[in-house]
Amino acid sequence: MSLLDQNWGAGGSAEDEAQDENQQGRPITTNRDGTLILIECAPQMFETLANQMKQDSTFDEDDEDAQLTTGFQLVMRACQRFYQSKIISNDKDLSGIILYGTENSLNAFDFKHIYILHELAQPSAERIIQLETLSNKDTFRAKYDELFGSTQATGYSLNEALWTCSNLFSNSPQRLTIKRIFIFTCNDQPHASNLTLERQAKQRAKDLHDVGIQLEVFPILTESITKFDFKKFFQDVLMLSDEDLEIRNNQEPTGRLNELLKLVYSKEHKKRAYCTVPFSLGKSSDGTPLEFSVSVYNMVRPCPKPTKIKLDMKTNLETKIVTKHYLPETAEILMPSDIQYGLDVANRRILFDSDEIKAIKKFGDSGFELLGFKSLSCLLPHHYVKPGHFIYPDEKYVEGSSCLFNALLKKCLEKKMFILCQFTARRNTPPRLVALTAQAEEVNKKIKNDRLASNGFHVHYLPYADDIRTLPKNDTTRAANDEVDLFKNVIRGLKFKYRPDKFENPALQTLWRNIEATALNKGEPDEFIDLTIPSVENQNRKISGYVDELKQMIFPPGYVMGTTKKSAAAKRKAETTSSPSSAKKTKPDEDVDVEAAAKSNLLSKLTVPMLKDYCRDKKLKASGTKKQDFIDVIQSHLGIAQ
Amino acid sequence: MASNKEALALVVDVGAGMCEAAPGYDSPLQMASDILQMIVQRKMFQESKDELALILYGADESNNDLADEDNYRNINVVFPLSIANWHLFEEIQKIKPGNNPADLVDAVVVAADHLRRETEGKHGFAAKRVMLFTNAATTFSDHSLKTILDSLQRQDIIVDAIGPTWGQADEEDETDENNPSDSSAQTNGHENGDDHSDSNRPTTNGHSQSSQRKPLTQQQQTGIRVIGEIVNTTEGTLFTFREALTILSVHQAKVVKPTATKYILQLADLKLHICTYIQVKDNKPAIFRLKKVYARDPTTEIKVDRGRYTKDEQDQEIEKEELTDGFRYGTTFVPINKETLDEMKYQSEKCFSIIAFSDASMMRRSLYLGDTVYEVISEPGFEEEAQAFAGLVQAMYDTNTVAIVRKCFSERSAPELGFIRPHIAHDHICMYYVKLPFAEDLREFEFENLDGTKRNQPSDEQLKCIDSLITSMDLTHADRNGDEALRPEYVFNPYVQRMFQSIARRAVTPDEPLSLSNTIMEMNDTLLRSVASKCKRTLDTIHEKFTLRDTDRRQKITTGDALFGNIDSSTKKPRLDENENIEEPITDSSITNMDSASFEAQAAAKKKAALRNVGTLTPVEDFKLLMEQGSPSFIEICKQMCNLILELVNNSHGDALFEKAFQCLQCLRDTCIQKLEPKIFNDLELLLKKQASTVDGRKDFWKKIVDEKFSLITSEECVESNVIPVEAMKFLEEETPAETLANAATTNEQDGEEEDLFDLI
Repeated sequence: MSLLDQNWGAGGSAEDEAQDENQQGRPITTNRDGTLILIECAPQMFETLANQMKQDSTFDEDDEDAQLTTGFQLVMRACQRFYQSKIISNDKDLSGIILYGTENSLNAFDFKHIYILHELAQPSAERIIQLETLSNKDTFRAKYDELFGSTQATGYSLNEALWTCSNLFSNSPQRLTIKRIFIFTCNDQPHASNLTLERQAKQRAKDLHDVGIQLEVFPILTESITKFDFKKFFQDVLMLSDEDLEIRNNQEPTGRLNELLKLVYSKEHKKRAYCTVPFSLGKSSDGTPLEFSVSVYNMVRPCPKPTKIKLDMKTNLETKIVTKHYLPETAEILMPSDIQYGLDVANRRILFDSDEIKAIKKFGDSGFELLGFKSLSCLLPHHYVKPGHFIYPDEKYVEGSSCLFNALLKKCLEKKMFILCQFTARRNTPPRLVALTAQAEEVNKKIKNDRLASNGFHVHYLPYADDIRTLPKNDTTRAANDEVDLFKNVIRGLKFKYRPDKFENPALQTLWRNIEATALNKGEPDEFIDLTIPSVENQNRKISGYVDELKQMIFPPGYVMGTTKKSAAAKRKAETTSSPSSAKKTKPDEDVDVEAAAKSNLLSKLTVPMLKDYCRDKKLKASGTKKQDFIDVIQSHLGIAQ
Repeated sequence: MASNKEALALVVDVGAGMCEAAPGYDSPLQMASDILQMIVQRKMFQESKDELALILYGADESNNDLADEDNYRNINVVFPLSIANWHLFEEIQKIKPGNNPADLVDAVVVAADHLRRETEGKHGFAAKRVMLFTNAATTFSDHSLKTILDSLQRQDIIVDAIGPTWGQADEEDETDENNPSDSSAQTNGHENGDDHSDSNRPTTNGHSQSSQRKPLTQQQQTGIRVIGEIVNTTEGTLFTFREALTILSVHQAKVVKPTATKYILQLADLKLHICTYIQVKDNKPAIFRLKKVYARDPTTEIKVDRGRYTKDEQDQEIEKEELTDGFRYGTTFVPINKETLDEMKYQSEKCFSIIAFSDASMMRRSLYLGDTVYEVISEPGFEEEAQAFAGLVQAMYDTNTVAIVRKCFSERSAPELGFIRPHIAHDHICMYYVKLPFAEDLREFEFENLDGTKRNQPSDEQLKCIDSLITSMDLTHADRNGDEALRPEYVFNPYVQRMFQSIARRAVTPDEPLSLSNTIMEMNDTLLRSVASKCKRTLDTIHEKFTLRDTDRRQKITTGDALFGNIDSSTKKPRLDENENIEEPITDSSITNMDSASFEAQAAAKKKAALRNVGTLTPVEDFKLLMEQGSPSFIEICKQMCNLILELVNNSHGDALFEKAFQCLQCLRDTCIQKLEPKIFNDLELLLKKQASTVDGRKDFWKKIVDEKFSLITSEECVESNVIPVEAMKFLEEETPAETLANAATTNEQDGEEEDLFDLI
């Protein structure tokens, strides 16, 4: 029996379940995507990229694009970036690269001119380094010739290339939730001269479509190929409607890396629902439950930090943890049935089974239950406990969901109301109150296809009474109107349009870049510009006039703001009470304070740091770190009886 | 300052009058006991440092410091002042009615004296309190009342009194009160109580409760007057039993003392001292942290050993010294030692800096991140800076702006992005800080416009019925006072309540099963029922006007759900249908039980079905039962089933076991389709076909599969499958299996599946 069997898992552990609650936003690890990148290696791919790009690059300071002069390099670099981003965002996803039109062949079927560069697997440093060599202007040619042969062949079959992809997918060791093939080509009609091949390829594409493999084409334009007409061939392959075709053909294919990547990522969107659950409105009189179905998405979740692992020093291989529960006395290894859960209340141990702990957490089946509607004004700024969700109707389970959902959406928008629900995310998580706020579709007025927000409901978790703390009230005096006006000028001077995608995470980026540099044997990590650090200089340039005025208005001359020493406040306090002449208190004065306090038996009113300072000055050793210890030692030092 | 604990003397009248009750009602003594138990439980759960004493008067014994032959008789200090514990709890449970006369004024004197003695010379008692439980039915003398009151005042002792009634409620009221199922009682009691309360009597701010319908006796009226005087003089409060029960019925976790974190708010050249307090955060009472103990000896805490092992078949343990840190870069491992790691980490300083301002409208709630809302105020002691802070808040408030902030707790922590929003109330001025996402944290999903499809556009009629649904279920003013109903501020976390109840129940009656209630629905029953009754008709119209058709496709949502035992609710429906076809009544009943949320039923069902493996005797039934149980995991059960099928086929003499194996296969196939896991079945069939070619005896079983046209699961049957029907047919027709779809790699693939499974566990 393997040791693993003892690692019986999180099933019953209350701690783990509590964690689970926190991590409910995490995608479940079994959801893996598979992406195969299919790259045509026609001679045109080695021509200089289409000229519109060259013009741009003269203005561009980014020398990366300037380096990538051929389509092949561009695609290779795009693949490299794709891998790198996969590592950071979804390192469990599988990717692979297949070239077609190469002289050499490498595949399971002895198809000619099809070369599997990378089997379907998780990306690795080796692969990325290889792709870097294949895109670097100094090395790519030699490496290409070495691997795939120097001449480009034309007698390939796209059908066979797609069949190879399909085969890689079906041999995948892991279950894949989404399978997609990205084709990079500069040829809008690969089998123009061979109708049989063309028919085969189209049929194959249809078969792939039938089994749920998605196809996508990214055209690459070069010197000699300046137009890519989807209608010629790829409309049938991608099964585009005429409208879609129009959009595609009007899209300017790009020769720029970042734009190409943006296109790739946009096609890569996986709308993976966090869960799909029923939404219950209640019951009608005859007892039929009124339910529709919604899919729940996580729109904002913290991007996970790089996973730290423990390696075996000897082999540099990954290790695993085996958790064993044992009795401290006999070291006997215990089975789950031997374990109970206990807590101590006033010295009595109270016991539960793991099943009972689960039962306590289980309130009902997952889903939304309608409690009522409220005016949006009831949703207060501090009503927040954890990141929310987004819901969109789901027709797969309940047909007609979209219509009812849409009606709710329209009416909530119109009446400025939100929906109050009880939401149970999973069967074993206790319910929470949620506010569902309606979101109308928002489209960028300038760019037509740029959707700023999709329609649906946002799900906001509301706190319970237990979660809201009562804090002491502070009744600060209000600032005078002229001060407020100055601050308004400050605000005006430093106002910008907040966009959530503006700031990258400095801690995460720095660590990843460092790891990447080590993994890819780069000397220096890529530079990172931290936009979250405000430039005081720039700010001053805009608003220093107002700030100076404010300073004069509010603060006494010579006031040093934000001095971190707590004593500053105490000093100033002392000043106001004692003689105003002594602008700066000296040490002996403070000592006098302590001594005076001691004499009038007020030592206990002083703060511990003050007492501590005094003891340090006088080199007194207190018997402990409690306040009384200091008081004792000071009193005995000054000969005052307690 | 830890000196805010309280010394509390619980003084209970156990005289004869406390035991009288109308048939079917609890005696006042019983109710007092319930309340006392709740008080003590609460103190224990909150790990309160308050000290309690229990003093009974009218008792058989006269155990107190003041007692002598003639004075202070029948007053029994059962539990001297100390922190609440189970001993005190048991003493309360043991309270028996006495049959002796006892003087309530004497009892207060004994209690005050006890408090004085026990707290003398001890630090940290902020308040002393006597809590009197009586219905004032026994006689007493009030000759020295004035002196006693003076003495109580001098000692700062507060006296509260809790009894069935304080006489202000009228007869009609009482009938209501005595019918606890009538939920309107609270309202009535409340109003009446207020209306009738006398000016010289302390308000009880609420309703009263009586377990007897008898009018007050002369003695009681005098008693109430005297008690009222004592309570008034000492600035205490009168509570009725019902009030006390209402207040105490909500469990509260230990109160967390607000602690400030100090920052310097930087805005260009302005540097202001501020502090942040947690305003909202999911409250997980510390007491809920459970430890693992040994079932056969619960005093033994189980130790956990997390050893590191090589990730291969050898399972060799690795010593700590032989380990090094590393990161996963794709499949590449990057070893990194501690020092380099520190160098690689981002360095930051503690800060709270305003980056810029933005319109408050840009700050969509859906962007909020993190688990806490902080309140930001200016740090006390810096008057000028506080003034500047106030100016900033007011200016932001007037211009409806928020400030984007970089916040870093310490040099060792990662900086975060957040925003502060001004908040001004009549007596409070602060900002709220909430974390915001970085670019990496956004997931830009896009969804089709719902109006894009004609079918999804609601008709005017449909819209009208949603409109009336919203109107009928509008909670904005649905409270009985016309205020907002179900305000988060007043809805308690049902899980916390249930957990406390379970702990209390288990502590008091360890051998009884838990009873689980306390849903949000139950806790706000009255309100929700009235809302539900109002919208009943609208719901019927919605039912009529909208077509909702369950596609019966609700099976499991993701594999993950199944693996972790979180099978979606809706799976139940098809499952139940399936179970109707099963003959065995046992299976059926256990399933019905499983559906009930009640724990007992669940436990019982589980015991009955203490089944972990698919056995050879009744494999199909076992398999289905295990599926219902949801444990072991789906894949594990399927694996067992696959192995069993192979075993049956391999061990069969002739075709003796083929029929059974075939049934199993059929059952597995159906389940795999239903659970969207075609690969499990398809892999098995590939394996069976492969075996058929190598081992002679298996050929016949394969033949049976072919004869029954028992194909691979195709994409038509199950979306997850990537086998198209033509391929599936071809697969059955072809004689030699080697050249089809997945070559000979099938066995390896099965291993792959297993590995995958282990990864997950």
